[in-house]
Amino acid sequence: MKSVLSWELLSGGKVYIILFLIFLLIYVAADYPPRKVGGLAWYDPSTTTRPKGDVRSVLEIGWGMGELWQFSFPVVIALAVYLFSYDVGQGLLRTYMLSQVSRTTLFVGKLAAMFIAIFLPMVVSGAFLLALADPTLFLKDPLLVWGDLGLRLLLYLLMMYLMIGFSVLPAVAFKKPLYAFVTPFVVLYALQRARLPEPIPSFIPPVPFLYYENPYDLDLYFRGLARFWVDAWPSLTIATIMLIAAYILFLKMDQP
Amino acid sequence: MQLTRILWFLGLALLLFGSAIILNAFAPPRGGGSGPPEFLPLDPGEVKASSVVFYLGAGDKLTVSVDPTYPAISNRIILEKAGSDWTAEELLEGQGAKVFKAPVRGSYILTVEAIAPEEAPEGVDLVSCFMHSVQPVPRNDAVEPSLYLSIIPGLVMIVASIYIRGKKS
Repeated sequence: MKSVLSWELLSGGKVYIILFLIFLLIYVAADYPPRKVGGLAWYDPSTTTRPKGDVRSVLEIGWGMGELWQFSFPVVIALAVYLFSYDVGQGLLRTYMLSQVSRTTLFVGKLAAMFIAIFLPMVVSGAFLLALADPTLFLKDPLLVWGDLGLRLLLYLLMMYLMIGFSVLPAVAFKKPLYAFVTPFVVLYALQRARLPEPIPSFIPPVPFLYYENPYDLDLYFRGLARFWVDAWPSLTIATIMLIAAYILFLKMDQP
Repeated sequence: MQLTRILWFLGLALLLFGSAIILNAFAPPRGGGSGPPEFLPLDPGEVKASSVVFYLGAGDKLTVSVDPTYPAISNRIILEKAGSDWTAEELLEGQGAKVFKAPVRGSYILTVEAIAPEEAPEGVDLVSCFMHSVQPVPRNDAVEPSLYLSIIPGLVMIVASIYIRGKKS
């Protein structure tokens, strides 16, 4: 597994793609909009101390779910094609890898490499940007600034699972990389615009709108996460089925 | 060989992060605008306060205007930088406005304390009212020199790795 991961992530300049993703996430998808947290209730200053608990709630990177979906989906599909498509200069190399490890290990390794290649830039960019949003507060109390980065990343992880499920199957099924790249776009676009009877549309991702008014308010965030789960479980189920199908296809394809 | 590789990738990462942050800082400003007026009924001699938290970029201007119904009502406006000792304060008697300029980017706590006079004529409503608005500055004015510091070590590391590799070969 270690050799598969090091091959998929570090060889052939793939690490430059990960660095480039970090650059894009910081530059394209990040912003610190000036914003205000709703007026707090009037209080008697002689008896009540000034409320300061909401300070971190204004530290916001302009990463909405919708923006991140639109930004990440082509990247995820491109990575899936790059890692799984047989024709992207990997025929011989894959034969070599298969002589070293089993097909299951290779498949799991490629999936893990995809997760790391997308998720690592998100973790690095998120940690980096939140710290830079308010350097003074970060130096005083880093945990207050990074408090809910983990929860935010969990939401992105769920979203990524959907994307990976929908991009890996075409990448394994089609030998031509162009077909593998275009198919998920076309299928999702067509399905989203087709007037399908309920409850079929609920099985079609994405669910890309902001689930929380304020992602740094933990209560609202948990409620947002719960709502995302309720809305996204059909798509997550489909993504799991597609991953299993991709796995079976990967095991059976090009068998002598 | 290992050292040159580590220097190369670390340098490249720092260079990319730094340039992304600086390029991002040159993007046009977003947000700003004003909030709705907030009203506070007071009893004679009463002191009440309200706090609001803002995210402001370096150099952004926050204007707070107060317009009480009775001129003897005074308002103390306090702006604090969260996580530091920086504070700006202004006492406004009756109607007035105060413009604060944020020294660094980050979260700020604005507190308005309304102080009602001990005595007021019969039939006068004691209501304090305040409004706030944010005017973001163009982002390239807000690029702080510290942002450029992330690029310099990156460049040094890349040059060092190329130099060491050249020496060895």
